[in-house]
Amino acid sequence: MRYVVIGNSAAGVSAARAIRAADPDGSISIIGEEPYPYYGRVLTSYYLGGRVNREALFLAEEDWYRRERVEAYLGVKAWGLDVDRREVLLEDGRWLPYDRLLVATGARPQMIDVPGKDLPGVFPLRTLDHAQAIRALIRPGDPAVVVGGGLVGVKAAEGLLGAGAKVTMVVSSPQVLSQILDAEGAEMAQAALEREGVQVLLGDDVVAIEGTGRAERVILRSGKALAAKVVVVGKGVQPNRDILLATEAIGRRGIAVNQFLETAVPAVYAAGDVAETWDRAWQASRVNALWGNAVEQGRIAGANMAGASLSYPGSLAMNSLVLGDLGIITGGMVRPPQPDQSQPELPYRVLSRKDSRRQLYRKVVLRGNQLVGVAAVGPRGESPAGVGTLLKYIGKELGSPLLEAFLLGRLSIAQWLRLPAWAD
Amino acid sequence: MAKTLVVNQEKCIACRRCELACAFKKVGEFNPAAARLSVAVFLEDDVYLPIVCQHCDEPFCMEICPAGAIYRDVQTQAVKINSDRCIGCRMCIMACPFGGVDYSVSEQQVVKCDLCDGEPECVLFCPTQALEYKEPTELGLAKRKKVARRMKELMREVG
Ligand SMILES: Cc1cc2nc3c(=O)[nH]c(=O)nc-3n(C[C@H](O)[C@H](O)[C@H](O)COP(=O)(O)OP(=O)(O)OC[C@H]3O[C@@H](n4cnc5c(N)ncnc54)[C@H](O)[C@@H]3O)c2cc1C
Ligand code: SF4
Repeated sequence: MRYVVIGNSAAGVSAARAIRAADPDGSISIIGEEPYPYYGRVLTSYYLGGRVNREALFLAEEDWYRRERVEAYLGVKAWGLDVDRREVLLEDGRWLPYDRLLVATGARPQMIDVPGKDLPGVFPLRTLDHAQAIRALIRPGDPAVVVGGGLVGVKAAEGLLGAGAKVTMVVSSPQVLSQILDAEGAEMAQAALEREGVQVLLGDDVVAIEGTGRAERVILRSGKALAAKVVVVGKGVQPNRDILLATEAIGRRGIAVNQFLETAVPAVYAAGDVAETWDRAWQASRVNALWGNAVEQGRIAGANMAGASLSYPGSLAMNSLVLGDLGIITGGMVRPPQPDQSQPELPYRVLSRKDSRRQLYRKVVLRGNQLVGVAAVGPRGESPAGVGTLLKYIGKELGSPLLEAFLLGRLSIAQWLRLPAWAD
Repeated sequence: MAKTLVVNQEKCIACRRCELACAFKKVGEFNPAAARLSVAVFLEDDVYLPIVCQHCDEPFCMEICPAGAIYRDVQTQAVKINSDRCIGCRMCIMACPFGGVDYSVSEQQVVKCDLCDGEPECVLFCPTQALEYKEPTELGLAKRKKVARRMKELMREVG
């Protein structure tokens, strides 16, 4: 059997591992546009901030490919696909035939479309190269602007702080982390960022980046001008789905897959940030662009490519974030849809509790008696043990004593034993 | 099969010596908050159960760790955290359904049971052999299943 994997990151490498475990003899090729062996994308902001050194970024040494007999085409882009002949076209003109193909091409950052966006000093933060370029430019005391208050924006701000920069964050929404936190939780996150020294500007937009030969200033809609040696844009990501664009595998945002992570194209699977999978909390197909989901989907897709028929239980938005002295864990649907004219009645119930003295915020979202969303915000020194148990229960029914304990910030290991038996 | 921590739930008397022994070995203090295992107590049901990392065959924590910090010790088969690589993101805590990974306030880092490199301190100090370090036998496995069933019943009653 000839397996080809496009994408040498979380989903692709875990698929290659699963394929090798199930099929010791098959030929496995992995194609990666970036010239490096498998590295931890999540670590790039830590690398930027000097908390992780370059060697520690790598999660598989070059030796791994040899040992596992995985043919690596690194620094090579896959250009196209002939789904009838079952061949992948590489940018150097070679064709790689496959019996099973995995598209694990991940996502690319969305850039802002303003004058000056192409000036040197303006970066997204997605790859090792981006982190390295930002690192090479920034010096302690330099002004830096982060555009966007989402997960990557926040990580970029932390990285820049670690590198000694003076950071201003420009957020178009009225709060930070609007994808994963409601206003109350976000207020605490923003305060934690500010305690770290980040200046946060809400409800404002970048309308231009100015400078002679390189970025020097950022102009905001409000008229403010901010000095900036580097501008890091964290405005969300877009699935890299071009390779299947002309096929029926295209979904609303990414590549659509079934419960076995197969696409509509025969012998082609998809996993990770590029894949649109069933979301257990939303009960709909969504792209949940997260590391853990990518690894799990890769593992299941890989096993299935090698002949298993593992059914993917569905993805979840699950985030863990440590911002200075604050810890945040969220899962599932933290912000349920709001009722409007078309749907005046929605089945969601929200329970939340804030304990300002203990700096604790807890929230659960229920659909009927089913748990669909969890948020736990608290001091870094507080042990969040037990939250993992609760996250396992997303999509299932829960008794109220447990919810109460969680809301009070008292969910301990003892409580989890009171959960109904968790059947997967 | 490798040796592991076998919990004989019915022998546990909730004396919590295991917690203290563990904490003392790991941080040099009798501070249960630093222990890598904890005893769950259900007074009203008269059931006590030491909760500890299961060193799963396919550990969720190891799978999710984005820093490559969690690995399996080839000697003991323990699932361990390499603190040099750990970035403290807590994704492992979020991923473990058993509460097997915890954040230690005193050490300011994420910690878990590492089977003490093959000489688990908790076992040495357990006066009733509720904790044993051995290869799970057929009988042991059957017992584990029985405990699991008992726990299920218990959960149904309370939950
Ligand atoms: C700064 C930062 C912080 C993050 N923090 C977290 C976090 O805390 N928690 C979390 O869960 N997630 C986090 N993420 C998200 C996480 O990194 C992604 O969800 C994960 O990397 C997705 O893995 P993937 O394998 O699907 O895709 P990717 O990691 O995007 O990898 C896809 C690979 O495919 C290659 N590729 C794409 N197209 C082609 C082609 N045509 N030919 C050849 N190669 C191609 C790309 O070069 C890339 O290497 C973070 C991301 C960033 C950028
Ligand atoms: S806290 Fe450390 S061990 Fe746990 S997932 Fe993060 S890096 Fe890995």
